Amino acid sequence: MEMEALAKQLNSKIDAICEEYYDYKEDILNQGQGLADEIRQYCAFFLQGNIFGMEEKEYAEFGHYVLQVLEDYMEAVKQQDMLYMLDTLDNGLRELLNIYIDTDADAEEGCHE
Amino acid sequence: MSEGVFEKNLKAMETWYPEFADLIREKEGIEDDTEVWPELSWDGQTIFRMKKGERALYLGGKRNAQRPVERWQERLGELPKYAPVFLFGVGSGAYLKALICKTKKEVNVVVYEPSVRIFLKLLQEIDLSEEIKNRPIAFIIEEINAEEFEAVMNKVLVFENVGFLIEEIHPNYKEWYAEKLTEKVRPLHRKVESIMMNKNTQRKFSTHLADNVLQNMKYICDGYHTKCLAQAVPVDGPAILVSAGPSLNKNIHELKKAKNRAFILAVDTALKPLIKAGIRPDAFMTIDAQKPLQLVEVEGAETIPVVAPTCALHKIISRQKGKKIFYDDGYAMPYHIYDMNGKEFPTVAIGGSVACSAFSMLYKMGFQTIILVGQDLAYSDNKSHADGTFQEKMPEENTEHMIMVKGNYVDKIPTRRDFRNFLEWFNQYIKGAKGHRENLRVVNATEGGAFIEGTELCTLKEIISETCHREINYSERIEQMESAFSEEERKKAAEYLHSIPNDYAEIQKAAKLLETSYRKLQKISNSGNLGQKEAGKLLKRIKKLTKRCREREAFQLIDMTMATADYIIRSEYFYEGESSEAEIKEIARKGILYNQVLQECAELLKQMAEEALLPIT
Repeated sequence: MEMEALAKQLNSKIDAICEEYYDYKEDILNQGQGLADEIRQYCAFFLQGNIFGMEEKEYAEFGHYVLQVLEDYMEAVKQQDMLYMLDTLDNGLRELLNIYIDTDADAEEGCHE
Repeated sequence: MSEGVFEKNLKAMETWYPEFADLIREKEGIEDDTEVWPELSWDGQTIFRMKKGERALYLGGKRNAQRPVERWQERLGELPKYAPVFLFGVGSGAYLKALICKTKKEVNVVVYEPSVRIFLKLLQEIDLSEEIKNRPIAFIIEEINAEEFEAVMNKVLVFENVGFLIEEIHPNYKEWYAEKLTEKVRPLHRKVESIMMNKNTQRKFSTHLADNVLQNMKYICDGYHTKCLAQAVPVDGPAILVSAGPSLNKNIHELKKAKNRAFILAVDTALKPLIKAGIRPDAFMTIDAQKPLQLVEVEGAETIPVVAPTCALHKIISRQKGKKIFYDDGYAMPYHIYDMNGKEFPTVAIGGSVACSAFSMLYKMGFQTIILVGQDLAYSDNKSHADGTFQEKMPEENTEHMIMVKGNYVDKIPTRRDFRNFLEWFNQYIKGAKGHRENLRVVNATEGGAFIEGTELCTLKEIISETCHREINYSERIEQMESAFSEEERKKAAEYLHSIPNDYAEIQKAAKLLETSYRKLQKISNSGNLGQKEAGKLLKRIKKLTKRCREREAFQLIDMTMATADYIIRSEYFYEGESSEAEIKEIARKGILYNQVLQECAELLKQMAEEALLPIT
């Protein structure tokens, strides 16, 4: 799957998770855990090398950010921490998804502003 | 940890609750099994993380702690004045801060925190002094004052604001404190249910209540109340409360052995099966303002003494030839005839069912052993009531989707919501009663049904053979019961009752004047030239006239009869109009409508009072 399509797919799944949590107060941990393969696939793409041709320092920081998202995701799963999961998806992974998503156009649709 | 912040918070708390602040100081070193520490979120907020064993949970977003709180606020929207807000779990105080900051001071905030350690960490780390000073926040903290939750809830939650209730469980609290949270959320839901149920019952029975009270007054003047009954019958033997649950059919025949050896009190619905089984209870209780008369229409029942609140269905009361024994159920008129004669009019507790009130009466009479029969509070054998009550053969119902509760003789038994409320009442009442009277023995001889906490299970046969020894002719004792009133006191009561129709005439006149005042108010608010002085003068007059109506004891029955009109006005009580001018217009519109209905109602009650009260001698 192309990165843009994967980003959009993940984005819409996170929107649904946010809606479940904020509007219906549902436990979203299982749904978050269900994204594991897509998240791994998406993040691995950025870690395979400096594909965007960033400056070394900038790429190091970017790589660190990606690793931090993965680490937080895994820790949220390990601790079974729903709030940690939600924050990682909505505020951590979402930043990475926005690389492939036109946020101005999608702002109305998503729950992340 | 900052001692400065802790003291600052406590000083702020002293503004409202100095004793609570002292309690917190005393408990500062107290610990529970939750470890908690502060962290800084990426958006600069202090968040908490808590740990139990190997598992750690965040209480705020690691990257963005602020946004979820903002989203919550957006979802809440603007809260009306006096809205009750219950926060279950306080975490690092972000939700509480946002709530205090964005709502009117009159919004009532109750915070329940199941972990004393989190609460203490909050006071140590987060400066909440401004928020605490802002208004009296009711903090209910486990290990400190958790027992106060229900008292606070009862004070905060009333019919007028129940529609605005907000309850929020802090994220992640359910993971570790689910049980403690349920202990608090459950009574809150029950309270809401009970407020709505009472109001709906009042609305449903509103037209009958006034009629019943007025028609029963002639019997109330005879002066027999539940304390007279307690003085007439010995209470050192056992009392048997016979209810109409489906299990009654299993052991009803055993009751014959208890006749004249225990005081047998039946609920009205159990009368028919009892009489048919050849058992004449010593008295029966009825409480409903509207009840199918057929339930007690059985030959032989009419001579049994009846115990009732003053608003009980007068057709049942007047049918009875035996003693009519009343208790105070909050109606001003019957209360007044006792009060004016310097006499006490005793009460019994209300739990929603006849059996609840009957149990309370037996306890208040002083019985040390109370035996429950047919008190199923559940669908034993999939039936709601005993055969021979509502129908000769009660139908079996589909109980698949019913609530399940602990059974007396089975693990789980189906029940419905109202039965479960009564069950909950029995649990609480018996707990309280045993707290006051250590040697109280409540024996549940229901051969089926739901388990009532604080009861011992025993078959009826066994408990009768164990406790029912002394022979006492209870019926004879009740027949010889003395009235609380002398002839003179009764006359005084009758004179007072003769003045009631005139009270309704006065209320009618005042309501007419009130309508005129509201019309004037409407006129000036419609003119767009609402002078504060003029409006103030009118509102003052309205207040005076309203007081003139409401201070009369007779007004209470109007209030009950107009329950639907009252419901509309009270349930909109805390809605606010866009501007004060719009509000005045709305006040005037409702005032006119209300006082028109009031005049009609006063006229109706005047006629009813003339018919029911003037013949009393």
